[in-house]
Formats: sequence, C-alpha cells, structure tokens
Amino acid sequence: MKQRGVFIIGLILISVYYFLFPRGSGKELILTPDSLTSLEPTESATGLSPGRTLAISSGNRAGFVNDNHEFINLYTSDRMAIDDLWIAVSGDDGLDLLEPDGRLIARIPDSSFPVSRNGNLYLYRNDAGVLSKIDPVSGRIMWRMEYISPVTVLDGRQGRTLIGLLDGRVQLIDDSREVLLDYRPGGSRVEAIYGGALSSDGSKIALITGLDPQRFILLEERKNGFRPVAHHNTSTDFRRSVSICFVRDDSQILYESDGYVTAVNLNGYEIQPMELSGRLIGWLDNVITETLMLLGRKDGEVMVKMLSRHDLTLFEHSLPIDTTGMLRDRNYAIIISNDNLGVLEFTVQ
Amino acid sequence: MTVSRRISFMIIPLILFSTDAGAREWPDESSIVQEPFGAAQGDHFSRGLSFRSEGQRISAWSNGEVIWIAETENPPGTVPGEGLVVLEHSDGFRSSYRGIERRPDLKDRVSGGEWLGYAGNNAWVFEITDVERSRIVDPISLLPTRKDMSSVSIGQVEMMRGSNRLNISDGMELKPGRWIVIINDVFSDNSRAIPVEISLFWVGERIGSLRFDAIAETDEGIVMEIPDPRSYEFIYNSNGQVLFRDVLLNTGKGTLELRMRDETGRVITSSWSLSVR
Repeated sequence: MKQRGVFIIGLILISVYYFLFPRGSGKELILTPDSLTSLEPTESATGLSPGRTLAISSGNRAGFVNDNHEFINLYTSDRMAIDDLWIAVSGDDGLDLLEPDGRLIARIPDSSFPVSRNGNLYLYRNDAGVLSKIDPVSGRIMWRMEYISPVTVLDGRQGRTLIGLLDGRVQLIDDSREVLLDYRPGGSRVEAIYGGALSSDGSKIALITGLDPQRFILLEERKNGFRPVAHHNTSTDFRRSVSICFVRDDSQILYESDGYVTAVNLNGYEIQPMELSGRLIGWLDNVITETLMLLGRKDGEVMVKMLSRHDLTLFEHSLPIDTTGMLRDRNYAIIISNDNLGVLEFTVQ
Repeated sequence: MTVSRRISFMIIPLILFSTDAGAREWPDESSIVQEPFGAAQGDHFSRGLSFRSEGQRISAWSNGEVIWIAETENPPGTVPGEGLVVLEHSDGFRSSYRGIERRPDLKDRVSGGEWLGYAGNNAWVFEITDVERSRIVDPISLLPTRKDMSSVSIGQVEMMRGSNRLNISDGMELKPGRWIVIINDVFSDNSRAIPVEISLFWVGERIGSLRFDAIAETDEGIVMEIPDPRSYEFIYNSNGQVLFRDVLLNTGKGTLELRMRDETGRVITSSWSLSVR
C-alpha cells in the first residue's frame, strides 16, 4: 500500500515536471524575409485581379495586395476604412464604397469618418455625435445612433457593436438597433471608457474604464444578460485610448499597461505581466500555431516580439520608427510602415 | 472655538472651492465666434462655439484635469477624433476643445487660461457638458459676457402655409388657420451678439419660444431643450431657417411680435399688425 502511494506521488511529480519543463522538440523557427513593397501607387497597382485580396492600411494610404503581396489598388485619403472585401473612401460629396478591384458598390451621401472593425463598416461624425452602421454589401444604413458624448471605443463582432463613451457609458447594439446592454461601470473618481473589445463570439466584453482608479472590467453574457465576472485596478492613468484585445482563441485578454502588457487569462482570471517596450500598437495571433506577436512603440523605437504558448520570447527585434501595424496572412507576418510593406515568412523546421 | 475661528472654518472651504473652480476665460483670444451653440450645422445642431482657426493658441476655460486626448493623427484601432482635448472641472462640467493640436508637454492638471494647444487646420470647436445633468450646454452662458458686442438684428421673417410663402410686412392680410413662421439669418452675423432665445407673441400672448441653452440625448436622438425637447427637424427646415410651426391665426386683427434675447440679456423686438380674414 505504502509502495503504491509512493508510486502515485512519483507519477504526479513526473507529470508536473513534464508539463512545467517541456522537452525541446528539436524543431526550429525559421524566419525568412519574403518581400519589401513600397506603399506607392505604381502602374501595376491598378486594374482587376482575380482571387483573394488582402487589405493594407497605413496613415492616409490604403489598398489591396494579391497573394504575392503586390498592390492591385492603392488609395490616398484622410478619411478611409478598409476591409479585405471593400474600401470606403470619404470625400466632400459623400462616401464611395468600393470593391477591391475598384468597382463601386454604393455611394452614400454622408461625409463622416468611415471606420472598419472586423468586417463591419461604421460612419462616425464626431462634431454631431452620430454613429451609423453600414451594410458593406449594399451600402444600406443599418442603424444610426446619436450621442452627446464622444465615442471612445468601437468594436464589432457577430452582428453586435460595442460602443464606449467618454461619459462612462458602454452600449452593446445588435444589427436591428436593439440595445442589448447599457452599462455604466462607475467605481472611479472620473467616469470614462478608455478601452474596450468584444470577444470573437460577441459574448464577452473587456473594458478599461475611469481614472483614479483606472479599472479593467470583464463582462460575460449569461442567461439574464451581461454580468461583470472579473475586475481589478490596472494601476494605470491613461488619458487616451488604451489598446485592449482578446487573443489566443478568446482565452486571454491583453491590455496596455505602463511599459508592459497585462495578460488576463480567462480561465481563473489570473493576471500576468508581459514585457513590452512602450505602447501596444499591434498584435497577431497564430502566425505560427500558438504564437503571439506584439508590436510596441516607445519614443524613438518600435519593437516586435514573438511569444510562445508559454509566453517565452521566441524573438524580439526593433523595426523602423514609422511602423504603424502588422497583419497576418497565412504564415506570413506583414509589417506595415508609412512607406513600405515588409513581408516575413515563418516556417518551422 | 472663537467666533472668528468658526467663520474662518466656514469661509476657507468656500475660498478653496472658488479657487479650484478658477476664473472662467474665453478659450480663444479673439472671442470671435464663427458659429454659435444651437445653430444649424448641416443637418444637426452646433454643439458649441466654433472659432476660426488661424494657428492661434487655445487655452483652458477654467482650472481642470485633462481626462481625454485624441490626437490629430489617429492610431490604428482608435475612433477618429480630429484632435480632441477634454478637461473635467470640479463644478460638474467638462470642457472639450475639438480640432486642436495639443501642446506636447500638456500636463494632467491645467489652470484656467493655461494654453492647451494650437488651433488646427479647420475651425475649432469649444463645447461644455454638464456631466451631472447629461447635457451639452451653451458655453456663452458660462463665459465672461462680451459687453462690447452690438445687439442682435432680426432678419427677414416669412409666413408659410402650404405652398403659399410670404414676406411678412405691416398691415398684411392673411387667411385664418395654421401658419409656419420662418425666421431668416438668426445666427448668421458673427459681428453681433448671439441670440439665445426667440419668442413669438400673437395679440400679446406668447405662442412660441425657442431657447438655445442645452442639448440632450434621448432614445429618438439629439434634442434641444426648449424647455420641451425638440428635434433639429422641428426647429430648422432644410435651408437652416428657424421655424415656429403650427401658429394658429384666428379671424381678426392683431399684432404678431417677435422678441429676440441675446447673450448680454438685451431684448430686440419686431412687430407687425396683421389682418386675418
């Protein structure tokens, strides 16, 4: 009996050791520069292109690249929003909604700012507090909301739109304009919403709210509506938009902290810091299975960092200071700067 | 405790509070308002005072705390903001400075009159929100009075019924029934004081009043509180002219009088003798 007990304890200890300190698989991550494309309109950057397109946006330029990461269209405007299936370009006469090949889908008589979120198209007019959702297939206005407070957060998933307001309110609206949630977190001396994200299934809402203290709040949809399931003080004091996102198949939330990123694991709501230099300006899930890439900007430096499933740093590298974001395309990571697209290919050998 | 000590206990907090609230100042040195609060702006109400941008310095209306900064260039993932700075003040107000390029060394707490940034490329807009009442209020009522402004002028007034539209004049004959009174150029002259209330009287009785002092949010959209909530479409027509709808004129003779009160409290009146038959 005693021997059996020792054996079971030994087995447990070996299992714990195995999971804590996994063996090297012998596989190595290979990172290969694939191409560098200038963000300039060229003769080849026009016309129809069959097949898949990928939307690229940087500053006042946006366009589509083909499978070989060559531009098939490039637009320049201060008011644009782009998705893989459409681009919305706003002008004095209104908004042109175009297909990737440049064909007009619809012309909307509204010169508001177009905003793209996960395939959803919104128009926001900040001087009038008017936010509209547009069907990008037809150009039809799906709904229109008016607010007296500036909109500080906008996210859309699964027919739901998350709206955060500077007056401290959060709303979740569905495509029929029904308000599913009208929530005011409170709990801070200054009420405001500084960051917010919807999970990919639209059932969880992560928020950064208020000042003194600034707080993280997670809401989850239950049978009787959304309920706060986790919250904590963030020890931050941001007075601007704060990056927050769901990653790793919605199992983790990342948000920007002072000089690092805080990760909240949804399984148990455990909090852990991740080192990252400066402001979180981009993130990519699964360029290689179960990896996470983070982009941080601090003063005169932009850093990219790739983390393993266990948050071990696989690589870290500085990028040009004018880097604005990154995109995943199959097993490529596309680094976007004001002037160029740098395409990196990842393979495991 | 002596009486003087008791008094000082009562007075000191008052002094501290008033110091914290700070003197209220015009945020734009010129004080020349291009478009006032409540004016027709496209298809919606102007929510604040709009100033011409000439690269001038923009300063804090009162002592406050910076609670929001949106840069002119919007980082990916943020909501477009066109250069916005918002201050929270201790007296329940928030002031917004939209369309400005903020100074890079802006601190979290600012004093009234301290500069926040420069006017950007287009007109910049100053708004004040009453946080406790969830209203955007007319900043002109909370700024030092511009005593040197000449009084408002009443523009052309028209009477409309169906397709029948007439310029109003003294001694005019009108048919009895419901009319729409149209007032032109209410907010067009920025060299004059800003109108804050327009009232219409018929035979000495007030039959309509428009007070441009607060904008609120309702389920149906944004409304001007007059004090009854009225939508933009109720107050303005598609040309941005101010309307008094449903003005009932019964048979007889009477005086139609229009009174306009401006930011300084002065009231200007125009009246017309009308014959209704």
